[in-house]
Amino acid sequence: MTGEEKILEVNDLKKYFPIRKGFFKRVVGHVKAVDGVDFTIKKGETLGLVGESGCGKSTLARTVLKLLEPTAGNVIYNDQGIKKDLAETEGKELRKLRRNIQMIFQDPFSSLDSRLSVRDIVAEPLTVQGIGKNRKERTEKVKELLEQVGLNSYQMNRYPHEFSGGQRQRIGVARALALNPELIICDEPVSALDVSVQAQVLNLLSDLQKELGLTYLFIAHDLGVVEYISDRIMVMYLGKIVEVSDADDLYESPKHPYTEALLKSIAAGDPFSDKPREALEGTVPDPANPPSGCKFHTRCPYCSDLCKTKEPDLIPTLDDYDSYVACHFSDSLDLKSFEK
Amino acid sequence: MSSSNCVIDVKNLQTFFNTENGIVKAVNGVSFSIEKGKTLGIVGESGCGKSMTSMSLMNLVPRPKGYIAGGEINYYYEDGSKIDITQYDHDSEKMRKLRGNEMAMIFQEPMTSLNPVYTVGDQIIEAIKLHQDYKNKAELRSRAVKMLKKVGISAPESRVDEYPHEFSGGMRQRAMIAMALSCNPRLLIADEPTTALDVTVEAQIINLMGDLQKELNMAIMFITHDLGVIGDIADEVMVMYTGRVVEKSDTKSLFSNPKHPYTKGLLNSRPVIGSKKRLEPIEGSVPDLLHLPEGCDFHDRCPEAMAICKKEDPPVFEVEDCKVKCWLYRKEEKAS
Repeated sequence: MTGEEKILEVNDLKKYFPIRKGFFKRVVGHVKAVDGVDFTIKKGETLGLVGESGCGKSTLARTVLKLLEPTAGNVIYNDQGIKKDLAETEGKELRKLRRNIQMIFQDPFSSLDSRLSVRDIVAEPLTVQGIGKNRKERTEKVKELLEQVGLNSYQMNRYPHEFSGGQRQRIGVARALALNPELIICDEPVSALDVSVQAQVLNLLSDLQKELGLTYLFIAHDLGVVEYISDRIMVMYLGKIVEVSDADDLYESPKHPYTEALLKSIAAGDPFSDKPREALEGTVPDPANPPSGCKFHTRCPYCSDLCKTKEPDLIPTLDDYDSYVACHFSDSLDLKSFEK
Repeated sequence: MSSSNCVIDVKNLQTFFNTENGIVKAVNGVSFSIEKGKTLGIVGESGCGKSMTSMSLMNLVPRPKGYIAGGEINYYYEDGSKIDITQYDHDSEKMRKLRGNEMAMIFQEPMTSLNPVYTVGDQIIEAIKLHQDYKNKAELRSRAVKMLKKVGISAPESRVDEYPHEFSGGMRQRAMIAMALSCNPRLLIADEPTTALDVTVEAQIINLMGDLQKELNMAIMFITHDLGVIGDIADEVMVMYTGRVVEKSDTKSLFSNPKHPYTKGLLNSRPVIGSKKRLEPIEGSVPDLLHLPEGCDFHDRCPEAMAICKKEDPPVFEVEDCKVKCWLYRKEEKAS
């Protein structure tokens, strides 16, 4: 399923938001929402991204697409063998590149313009990019796209409020597919949906992936959903990637204490086990004032003095060159796998 | 069910809405009861009448369009006397005494259900002042601090003077729980209390609710669409679809042996960690309550639909201590 060809390579990406105070709006500090992130996505794979809210998942997605101007770093997109840095491109060139990278948003209620008909919503990227000779041709394309995502083409003159949450998310998917992208960034696409509808949308996304050879960067906070759809998973904490691993390995042998804590807090949904869920204490620290050393040390049960002073690097693990972990003691800790 | 331990007993509850296009039967003949110290879970997709059931219990159905059309909601006091909530006006003295003191509710959205212009402490104090006999300011404040401490908020003495926006999502939900529990209610209604929260915080809140339940011996009605949470917290589960109860059984048998095709569908839609099996979603979506299909409300989405399902609405069958509203169990009924 996964080719070795890298479709996207992100190097040391940073996004800082300045904190301004006082009459002259002096910059007094920075919120380091994304603080030096490296990862690659291979063609045809699904890379999952998990973490608690406020750890920078959505900011990372937006910065990769250059919807937010990156503070530093490169986002290198492989455009048919020619490597282009999204962080450096601007204007027409950037618009052209964005044809290949599209996004699906979390909230199907606020991400569709309520004053546009479904036809206009799905045709908008085509109009913007100047694809299709005339309105008629674009309408044909819209019909095709709607059928592809499981909606009826006769519904295209309706408005978003006439659709249910799941159907709206399908419209969002159709819009993302309009430009035949290679990479789709899905920012919590199923979080706002009911379980049954969630399953429909997840199945649709994986069918489309097989059919069109799409690559996904899939953001979610539901660990069950991420495990289901991803080939590899990245775990993010306070602007940093703390672990990257093959999806199955992540659940079977987590390498970072934060990953272990996340797995422990999953609702097992098993009424027969008396084992209580072990909750990770506390919340994500303020990113404007992050802890010293390893950012997770304030909540880590295995914390030692070294963790408080020295920040660990994201390094390859011993047994697998394709997985990475950022913990001083990842080799010596015996972390528990997810138990059902 | 022994009535001495029973906290609430609902019989054939009907909550309707008058709309321009006709009467919407949001809750249509729901019956259940909850005992002291027990948790009843209510699951179903959005629009199945879960929240309206809880609003009816509080007698807070949105007026003037919504009203309780029939049925009984019997609340049993500590001393054994009972009150039928449906017989009282929503703004009557009796109802106001009942809410807060006897039953309390926590909502899904901790941000929208807290008032942004009052401190968290003031809002907890307001609840205590209304329902209990504390008069002294210092006493009220120390009670609010105690409540915040109880729900696990660190440094409650300083936190009590902070505003909701200074709290994180999980802390806001804790503050809501503190407010709900401030008058020691005997019934807690939790309407999707963890849906908007992260897994880590969700686990904290669920554990907290479980601990407090043991401590105070409360009855809890827990509404959610997440079956994982239900498995962890509920003793008994009620599955709702289009305002009706389609299956009711204890949690263990619901998970090990789901009976109604809708329950099976909900369980199969859930990604299970460790299995890459393709999800089997329930096709389609919840029908419009004004245009319900003929026969069983679920038949057009049901993979096991038979001829009779399209014509006649199934009654409730009792199968192995479970109640199932499905024609599939007709024979077993006859045999027993």
